[in-house]
Amino acid sequence: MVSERRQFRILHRDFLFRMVDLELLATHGDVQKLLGQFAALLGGLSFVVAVLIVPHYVTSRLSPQALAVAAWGDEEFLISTTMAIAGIFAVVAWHTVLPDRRDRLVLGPLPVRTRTIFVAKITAMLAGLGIRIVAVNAFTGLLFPPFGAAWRGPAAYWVTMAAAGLFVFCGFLAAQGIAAQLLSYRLFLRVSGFLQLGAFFAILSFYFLTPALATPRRLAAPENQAVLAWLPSFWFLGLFQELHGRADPVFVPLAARALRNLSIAAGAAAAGYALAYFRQMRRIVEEPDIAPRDRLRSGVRVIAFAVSRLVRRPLDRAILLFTARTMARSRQHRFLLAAFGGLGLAVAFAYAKEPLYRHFGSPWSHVTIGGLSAGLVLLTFAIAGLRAAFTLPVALRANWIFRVSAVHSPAAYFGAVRKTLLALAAVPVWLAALGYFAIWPRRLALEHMMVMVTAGVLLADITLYRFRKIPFACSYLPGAANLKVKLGVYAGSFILIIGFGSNLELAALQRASGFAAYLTILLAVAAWAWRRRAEFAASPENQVQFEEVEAVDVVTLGLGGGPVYSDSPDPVPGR
Amino acid sequence: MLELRRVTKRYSGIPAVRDVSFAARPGEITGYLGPNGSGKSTTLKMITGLIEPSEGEILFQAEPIQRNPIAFKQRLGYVPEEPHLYSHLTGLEYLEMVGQLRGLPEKPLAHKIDGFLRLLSLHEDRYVAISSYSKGMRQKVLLAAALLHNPDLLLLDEPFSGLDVNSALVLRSLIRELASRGKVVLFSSHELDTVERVSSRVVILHKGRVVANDSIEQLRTLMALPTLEDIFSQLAVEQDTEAVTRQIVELIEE
Repeated sequence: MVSERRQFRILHRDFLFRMVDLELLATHGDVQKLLGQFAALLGGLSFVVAVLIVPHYVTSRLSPQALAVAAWGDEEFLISTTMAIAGIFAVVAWHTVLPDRRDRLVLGPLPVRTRTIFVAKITAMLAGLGIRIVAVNAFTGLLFPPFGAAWRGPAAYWVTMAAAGLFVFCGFLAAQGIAAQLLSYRLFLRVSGFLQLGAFFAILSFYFLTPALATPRRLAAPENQAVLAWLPSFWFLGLFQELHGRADPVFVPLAARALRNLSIAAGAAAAGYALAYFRQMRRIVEEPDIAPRDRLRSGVRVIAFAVSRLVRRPLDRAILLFTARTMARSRQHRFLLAAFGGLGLAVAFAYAKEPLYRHFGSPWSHVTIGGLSAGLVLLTFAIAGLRAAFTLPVALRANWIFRVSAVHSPAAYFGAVRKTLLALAAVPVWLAALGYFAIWPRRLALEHMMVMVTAGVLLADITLYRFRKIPFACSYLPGAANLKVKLGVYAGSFILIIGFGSNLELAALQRASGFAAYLTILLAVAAWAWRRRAEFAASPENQVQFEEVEAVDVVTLGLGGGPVYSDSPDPVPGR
Repeated sequence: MLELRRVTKRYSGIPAVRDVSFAARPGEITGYLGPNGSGKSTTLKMITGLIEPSEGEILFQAEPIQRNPIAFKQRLGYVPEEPHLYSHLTGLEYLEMVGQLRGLPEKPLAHKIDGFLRLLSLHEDRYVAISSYSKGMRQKVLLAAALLHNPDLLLLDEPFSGLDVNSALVLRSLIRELASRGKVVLFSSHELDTVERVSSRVVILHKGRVVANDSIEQLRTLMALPTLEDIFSQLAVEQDTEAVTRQIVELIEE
């Protein structure tokens, strides 16, 4: 007889390591190592935060009561960070929390009880959440509450963090469970991806846009009560204060709200998840994964008509539609783009926060550095994100069709890829930027739009220089680029260029002649980037690239520890 | 005419195909046979340009295919052995993409795709993602994609794989009809019975080398064997099938 406990242990371990969506990992990715790196990263974050925050309290000359009040802002920051990490965990693990077809088909025929699988899944989720909460509070949890009762402060801290993390995780789990109950399996699969993206952007929005209200006056202000009712990090700040025994009356309703909403989220998650789990186990086998798409729906018809009219060349249309459909349907690609979008949104929020809360008395109608930069930041991240997604392959072995049907010159393919990047990344941001006309004077909005369009074209040509691939159709070699160096250089350059460019633009917008000079320089740079990319694309020896590393005739085993011989013909991979 | 002249392909120095020479003529169906790993698919991939020969030359209409690969690919239709498709696309979307990649104009393409989908019984599932298709349905998509542009050269690698009886009969008849209209057809299969019924001549490959290249009638006469299966067993099968079967059963019962 097979031991149920042993089965549970094996499944628990397997599910725990699969909490990170395996499809997001590279083929040779080591899950254990990756999880260790995640934990170390969160621990490192906690250490940095502790080093930055704690000394202020240790060296402060304030009375313990005043110090406790002064700490509210930092406490709210730590709570909201924990909630953001728990939320991101829920988003990353989104497609692994409910059983999928693979689970069902692999485990179904084996002599394992559904109950054992269910409990293993639940405990793995809680363990995964717990590891992240502990990791992100590893140092702050030990060092931050340096005042108050010896045991009560740390206990209140850890209980609050666990409750805040659990609230976010349960909230998303409940949303998923309810969606799985209300929708057919096929529709659920389709909607689930959008829910995941919505959750991701909700986390970022809350994290970066939550106003600074953690002062006695702002917390007590009647006009802020409606806002506080919608800001979970403040509920849990209230809970922390209550557990700590600080009897400030402003925290009583917040703490009550935290407990009530945590109970609701936990209850909804437990019920929704359990029902969805058992229902899904049955439905997976009975229903196919993907629903038939009704081509006659008006929205789809309008898009199809627009594409057929706007994109006349069949090759351009093929690449554009293939890219759009892959981005819409591939979880990994969508998630990568969402990560870039999220980062872009975070930076844009950071710029836009100033006019949003009017801290410096800048009404919306005034053109500010923040307003100018926000659009450019989003444009940059959209283009960079889609360009990054292009390198991640999908169904690599199916790329033979591009090779066999290669009846155009390589330059034609590269041109189609450029149009696709502009159409799918730049055009949506340009359309959103039309919103500038609603808040700024027409001339200024028009001038900024011209800058946005030129910058978009420039960015597309820069990011596609030496790019010789059809999106998603070339193999991907993880670690081929030195990302640590590249990311640092790119991030530094990006912040400098956006800041410098926006300052320059703001100055140029004051006078028509100034703006004309500014735009001329920008156009000249864009023309140079276009010509450089076009010349590379049209060079006669160029080929569309399908392999990141070309096959070699001789492969050494590399036992000597020296460099491995490779006769790859392209020393500069186009990435 | 498709002609291979002393074609060799080596992987890391190990030859997969050695010195292969044969010709496939218009109006003729050439069967390409061999056991697993004999180099059939490697040969077909070299003809499509997916991999390059280490030595030798491949000619189509007396011109090396490498001289103008774009012109060659415009005349080539290929059904690969494995149904590797972009399974997140629907059958209709995949065929549209292939037609667009080949530069076919929009309206005739839409008309052709609709016709293929109807005739191959895929029309009802045209909006379903290929990931939900059965193996036979995928095979039909591959077949439609290979024929959309009316190619002069058809390379079919296990084209009957996964097809039901009706579809297999249609395909068999279709291959004959296309050959009779002057197309060059080279098809590889393990189904010796089908090859015998369809092909006018066969090339048999064993361990990367051509061991027979003649019409089936001529091979029967030369080797004094009644069927293609007997000819194939004599030329390309080394295992004692009875002994292997016995050993597998013993292993199961251990």
